Amino acid sequence: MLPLALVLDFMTDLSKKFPVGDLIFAAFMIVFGTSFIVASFSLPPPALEPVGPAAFPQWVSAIQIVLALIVIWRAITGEYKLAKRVEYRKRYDLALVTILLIIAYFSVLQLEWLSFQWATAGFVFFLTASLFDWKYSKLPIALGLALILGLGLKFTFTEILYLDLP
Amino acid sequence: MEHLLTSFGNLFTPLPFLFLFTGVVVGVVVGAIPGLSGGMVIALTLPLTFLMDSTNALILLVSMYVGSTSGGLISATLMRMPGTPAAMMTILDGFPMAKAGKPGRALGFGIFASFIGGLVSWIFLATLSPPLAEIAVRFGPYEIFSMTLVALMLISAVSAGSMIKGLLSGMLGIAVSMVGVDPASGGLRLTFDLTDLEAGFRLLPVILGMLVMSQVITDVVNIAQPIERLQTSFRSMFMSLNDLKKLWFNLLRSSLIGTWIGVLPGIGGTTAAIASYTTAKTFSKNPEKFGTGTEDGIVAAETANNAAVNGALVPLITLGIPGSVIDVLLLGALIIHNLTPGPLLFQQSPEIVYGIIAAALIANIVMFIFMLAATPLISKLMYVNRAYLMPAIIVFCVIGAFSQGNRLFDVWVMLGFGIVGYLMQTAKVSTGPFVIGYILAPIAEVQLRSGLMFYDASYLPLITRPVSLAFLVIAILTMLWPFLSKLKIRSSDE
Repeated sequence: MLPLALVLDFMTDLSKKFPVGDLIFAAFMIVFGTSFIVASFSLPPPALEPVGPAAFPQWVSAIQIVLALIVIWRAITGEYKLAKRVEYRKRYDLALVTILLIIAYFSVLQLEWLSFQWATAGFVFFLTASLFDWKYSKLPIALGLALILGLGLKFTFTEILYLDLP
Repeated sequence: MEHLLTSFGNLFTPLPFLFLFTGVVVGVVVGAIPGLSGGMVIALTLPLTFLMDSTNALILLVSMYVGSTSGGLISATLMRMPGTPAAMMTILDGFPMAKAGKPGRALGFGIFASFIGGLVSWIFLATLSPPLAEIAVRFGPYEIFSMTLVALMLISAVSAGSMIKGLLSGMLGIAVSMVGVDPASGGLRLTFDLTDLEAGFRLLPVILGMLVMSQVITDVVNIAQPIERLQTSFRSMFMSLNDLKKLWFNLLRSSLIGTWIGVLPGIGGTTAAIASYTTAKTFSKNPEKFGTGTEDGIVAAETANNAAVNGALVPLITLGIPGSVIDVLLLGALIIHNLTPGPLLFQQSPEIVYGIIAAALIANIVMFIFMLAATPLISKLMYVNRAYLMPAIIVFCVIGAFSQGNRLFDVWVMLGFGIVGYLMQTAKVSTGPFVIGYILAPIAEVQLRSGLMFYDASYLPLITRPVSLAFLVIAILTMLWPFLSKLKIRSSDE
């Protein structure tokens, strides 16, 4: 009942702001730590010295889980004031578009649908245009940047620096 | 001495000097652009150094380090945005002075202070490092383990914001470093039967994701943030002899504070600037002027953060312990170039170590001249719309992540760590401890387990060997210090 009461307390007390970021991060850490502990049980026992391959992952993951639980406890019971107002609009929508474009870019490279230079040119064009909210005046610049980066980097890295590209 | 002179001679040959100059210029420009940092540019440059001679690679990276730490003051002064975290304290007096119509004077003081901080701390770097390395070369596995433990503890203790979150970040870094081949037995561990994980999470994808991609996502979220703009001119940036007479003690004191804090592993330039600024304010005859645009404030902050650069190089090149996140990247560069960081580096590759020491001095001088000459131009460049930069940064990250192992899996790993790093930033969890834990944990594990093999499975030498014991005591004190100081504050309040 206590956690429920605390959550209700948060929802009704306007002087507090629920630290969602803390909870997501702590939950991620608990899942990550638990998976490591489970995986470490299948490791062979120590042979050359008494510690062995499993001990370090187990200690670290256990500490990780304890610390994550402390973060969750603090998030629920701590005093939080309302977040400071920012003078500008936070563009989470653009961040999401950026991540989706990156995933599309990597997928195109992975599936070898396009060569590096054209995949890069496409990615740079779409991302630059998105970051400028598709303003018509910026599209020629986005196109120029896309071609320079796509073709220029391909040439620089393969012909001058002799590095392999995806 | 002979090695040092040879390294100076080498630096004045065309190619190494070109790398040094390029490093300083790129570092200053990147440091001046908010949203980009020295850590980012060094991480992005690492893959480009694969084909370079190791000494030249380190010269380039150290020069970028020096340049970026100094460049941060330009945006701190003219835009009220620290180009690098170490320039955070410079805003307090730099921006008010610039806004009061003296941007050139504010920048001039900052540049000169950075130069003096770099010079004084370099003397310590050049004189302390060789004897320290000579002592450290006698260390066995338990000494190195205890020493690494000190570094790990310090990182957690000084992580920005919540200590628990800092520790958690460090633990995540340690856990990530354990995937792949077990360093003692050679067997696989924590690979979840995925072939791609058998090589572990490689350095570059992890670092590029955590430091660069996460920052790109943050920058996209904040792309609409308005920026205050001020400009400066070349002539207004010079100091008078009278100014020097007034400020010499502050310059010296801040250099010593910056060097000392830099030497302590894991702390870095930001803390150095805070400590130096606070000291200058405490001992000032006019403490009320701090924060309103006083020369003393700018000098204290900028001298210390630059002094910390060379200070942090001392434990890096003598003991293989990084003093800051950028030092971790330099450590990574050594590893990528098949060099073993630590005291043996002085014996095995003196040209690298003395190359770093010589580069630290010459880069500081080049930085001073370049910043005096080019700051008015850079102050225009730094307003370049970040929307043009971000796609290019992402593409460079892709190339960098791919280049270490020629695997697209690493590119996905980089994106994954970028998202995790962004979530960490949202939860106000510093990514610094993650990076340091990721680099240092394998060293600690290998040394502990080698020690156990060497001493017939006995932990006793950890406390019977005096150096190891001393480091262990320091590690324990460091771990307890934040709790003790909180208790002390509470009891004095009551």
